[in-house]
Amino acid sequence: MTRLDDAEAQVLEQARRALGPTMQDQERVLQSLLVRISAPPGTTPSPSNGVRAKSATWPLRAGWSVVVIGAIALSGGLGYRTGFEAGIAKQRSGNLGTNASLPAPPEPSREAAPTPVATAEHAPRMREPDHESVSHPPVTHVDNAPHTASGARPSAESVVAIEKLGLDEEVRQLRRVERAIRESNPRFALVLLEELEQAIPKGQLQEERDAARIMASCQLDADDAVADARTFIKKHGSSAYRSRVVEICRLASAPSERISPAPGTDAPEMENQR
Amino acid sequence: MSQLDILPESVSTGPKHPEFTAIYANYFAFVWRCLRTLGVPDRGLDDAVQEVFIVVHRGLAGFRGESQLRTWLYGIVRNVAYKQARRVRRKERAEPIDDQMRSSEPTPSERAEEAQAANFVHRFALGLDHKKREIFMLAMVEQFSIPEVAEMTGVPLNTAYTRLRAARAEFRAALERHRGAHDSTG
Repeated sequence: MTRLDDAEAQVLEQARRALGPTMQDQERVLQSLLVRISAPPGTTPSPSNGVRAKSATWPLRAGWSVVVIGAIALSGGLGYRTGFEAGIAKQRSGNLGTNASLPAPPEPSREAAPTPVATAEHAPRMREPDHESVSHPPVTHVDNAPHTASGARPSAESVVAIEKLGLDEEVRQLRRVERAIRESNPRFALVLLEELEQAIPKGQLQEERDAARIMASCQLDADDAVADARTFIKKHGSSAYRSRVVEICRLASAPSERISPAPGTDAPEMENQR
Repeated sequence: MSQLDILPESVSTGPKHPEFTAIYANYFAFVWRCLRTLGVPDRGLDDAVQEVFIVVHRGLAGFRGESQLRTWLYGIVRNVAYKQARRVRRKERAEPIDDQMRSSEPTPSERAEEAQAANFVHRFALGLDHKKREIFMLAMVEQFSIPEVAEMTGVPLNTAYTRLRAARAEFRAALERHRGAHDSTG
């Protein structure tokens, strides 16, 4: 079979990108779709009016939007690398005292054009049934661990397993957040953080959450963002996120605020790892 | 019980059903491009995409097995595409392809180049007969392997190879003509 020459391959690659939807397309269709799906039988709204339709289902749609947009981010259509690796690995080893290596993040095989084969395999909730039980996991504290039917507490091993699964989920969600920050999408990052807060309110990666929230707030030029960043730096002087917080919040721009990196810390610079 | 077994008719419990959301997230771009390349005009694209995912949502409970997912999904896409294309084109004559291409905002040259490539590929695909078009789209645009394409389209493997070979030859010739025209005007 004749092979494609470079020019042909390039044209096809460019076309693949440009023929694909934008994020706005994806969100617009989602809104209409949710209206249509959630409409009671026999009252199917007009598809073309879906976007404008207002109904009592808006909280449902909003909830779904968060989930779907989160899934979109997680699916890795644009190709991304790990976020928060250094800090998370440190936290993981510190908290669990076991396997400090992170699971490899889903590695999309195609940029901006996920195919069913590749992306379905990377859709974690489809591929990892064991993690279904932790999509909103019971989080991590032995005292809060559910009792078994007989009233006995789960074994220490199972508590550790629950902790690990909860942490895995937290790591996954924080990677979405990190990706949103890296792509200068702070509002989305904050939405994801809020979702994470609801799903795993007492997670093990509070420092990472704080750092992410501050970075996103700084990207939005929020009122208290810089003050929060200073507080964070003061509180977590040796944080792996120190230099990124400093950079994104421009703390180093004022001479009085210039802060040299803490010795022995490697800031998790993700920008060049795409 | 499988997660897929508990998907309800409606989304009243919404976020508890990540399968649909995962499918939406992972396949949206694929569905979108397929529908466009199969000839759904842009004005009907949103509705067509919604139609596909509504069918997916309704049918997901009865679906089994990941290996058939893309085949199942593509079958839905194909049906919706042909139905939608017929419906739209029956209403009004098709506009010239260039007018159907999505209007693009002023973009950097790279984006303009991509839009130009998309225009060319889109126009080329729509000029193919539908059998070659879907092979071209799945194999060359979506980059599925030929066995996958054969499975998705339900044609024998050798037939898929034959159609792909023909589509590639036409694509190459069209691209050379396009380049020639571009060079002579540039």
